[in-house]
Amino acid sequence: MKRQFWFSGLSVALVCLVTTHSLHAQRGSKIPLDTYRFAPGVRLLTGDKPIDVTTGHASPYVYDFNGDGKRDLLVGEFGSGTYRGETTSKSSLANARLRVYLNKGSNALPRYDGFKYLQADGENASVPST
Amino acid sequence: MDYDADGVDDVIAGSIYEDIYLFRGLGKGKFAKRKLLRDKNNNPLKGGYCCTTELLDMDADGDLDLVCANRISKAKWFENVGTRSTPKFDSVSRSLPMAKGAGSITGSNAAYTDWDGDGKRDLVVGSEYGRIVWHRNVGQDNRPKFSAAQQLLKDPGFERIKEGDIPKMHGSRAKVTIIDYDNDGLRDILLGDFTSCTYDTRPPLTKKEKKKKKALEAELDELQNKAYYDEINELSRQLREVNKPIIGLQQALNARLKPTPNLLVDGDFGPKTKTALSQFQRLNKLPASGQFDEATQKALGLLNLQAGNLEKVARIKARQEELRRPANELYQKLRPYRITGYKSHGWVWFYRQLPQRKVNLSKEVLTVKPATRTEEVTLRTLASHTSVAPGEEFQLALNFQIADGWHIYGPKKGDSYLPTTIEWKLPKGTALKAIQWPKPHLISSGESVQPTYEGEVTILATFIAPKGAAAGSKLKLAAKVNWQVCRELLCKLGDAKLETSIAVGTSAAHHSTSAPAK
Repeated sequence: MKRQFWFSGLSVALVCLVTTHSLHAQRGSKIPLDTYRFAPGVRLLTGDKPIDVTTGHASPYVYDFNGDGKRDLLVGEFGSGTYRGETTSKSSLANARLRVYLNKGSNALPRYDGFKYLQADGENASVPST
Repeated sequence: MDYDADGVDDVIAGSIYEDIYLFRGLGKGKFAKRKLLRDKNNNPLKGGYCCTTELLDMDADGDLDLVCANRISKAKWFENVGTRSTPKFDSVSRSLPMAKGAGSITGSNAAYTDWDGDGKRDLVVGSEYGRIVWHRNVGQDNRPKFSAAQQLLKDPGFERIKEGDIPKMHGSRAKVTIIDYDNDGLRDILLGDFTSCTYDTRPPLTKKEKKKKKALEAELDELQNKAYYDEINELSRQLREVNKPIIGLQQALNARLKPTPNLLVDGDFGPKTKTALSQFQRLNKLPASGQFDEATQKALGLLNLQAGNLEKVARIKARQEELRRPANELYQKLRPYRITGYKSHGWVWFYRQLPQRKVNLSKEVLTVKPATRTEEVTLRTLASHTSVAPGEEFQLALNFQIADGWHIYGPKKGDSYLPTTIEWKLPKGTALKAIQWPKPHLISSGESVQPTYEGEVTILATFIAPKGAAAGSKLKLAAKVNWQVCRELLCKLGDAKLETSIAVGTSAAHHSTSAPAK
């Protein structure tokens, strides 16, 4: 697979549910506003519905997954089922997986219609979440 | 990312309890089974709670280091002490290098990207509450040093929305990635979120139901009093105490079994510890009971441990369970009275970057810190860009604030006054295209006419960056400014040396007024 752009990591961001001990580091602290401007946010669609991952906590990444010259969308998702792989944790864990949405449109106007989970060693690639 | 420089991209992923995994790319969209990443001492690398990972050369040694951001503490990195093709990570993490006074970096993820187009990768950080900030890299691309956070997207707040409504902004725990998503030449923000929507689980409570709910809640309050929590805490403390010998057992098993089972040394006699213990017993021809009996202790060289502790653990756990049971039963009883349900979503948001408003330098320059200040004259200066593309134009503004009753003179030479002069020292290939002086106010002084500025004046100089400037290099501009400031019969001379540097980028530069000239 050829590298299409020079982002330094193809990373899946993982996440968790427990909110009670969330950090407060950035909230309310004074951070100067930069001059960059953005259009109001819109949700990316698959077919005609917003992309929505299991139990929330999406983590997107853009990468030409199938090498067709069009950038595809990879989305890390929270988890379901029971994680049975190697871990140092003794807690009960769920499978966090990575969705691959292939681009059916163009690079300027990407369009997605469904996804497949990233496969590793013949099964859905997964890492622990709760 | 190509973890091992074999020409095939790999996937590297953090996870909830700090573990980091590698899925080696095998080509054609195929990946190998996950592998837990370990440090040079074969201990699992710990990236932090809900960590996300990037590979980046942090110390200009040509290999890729492991950078981890996480939800509850500062981002950190592990040095690759191996090679580019056979990475081996240090067991001790370091904090990210920051410019002086820039604070530290915390966020739910960190994406490396050249946000401002100056040829050096910066850090764009998603945060727990959804705000997006960026830290400019003021070091080198492969030896970064980050400046303080500047906000790109505000904290969306915690407005509850109902299931099915269209949200205005993303939710919390933003995971960000930067890409020119619509191919319009400007870098956009893509981010994933966590949004929890409410829905009605049932029709509103009747009067009778409300009363019943209140009674159950009161019962729960009464149950969970101070004595209840005191005992819960005391039991946890006792549990930690009796678990101490298990720590010794886990350490011994890790050391004695080959390959090491890499048990988490946490003092909990869990299923993994039990399995490792059975394995040790089999190997040492002891009854593989999984029990921490005397013979096993002897074989492990741990004579001081008491097997009786395991029974004590069981007793404490049973008491904990017994204590919690009535409250759990009440929670169950309260369930049918719950009227609001929550549904979690994780959406992917696209924030398209809009072209920058043309910077009004004359106005912006007034907001920066003075470069020089005397009783009569305050001089401020500001560049239109922090980075420019080769051949691109940029401007520098010089603003004089002149005290009441005083004036300085225009740039033209005259017989009866000293003009204001700017002597530029420009890097090779940088051209001064134009300099705009506002029209001076003419006053007559005896025989002669003098062009003067009173109050405030801003001079705009336009430059062209060299066409052949190398991306990543810096244009250092210096100027020596001289002026004469007068009132009636009194005149004073003033001068200032100014310096600023503008980075040369690879692509269309982003305008920014965030870097005032000194």
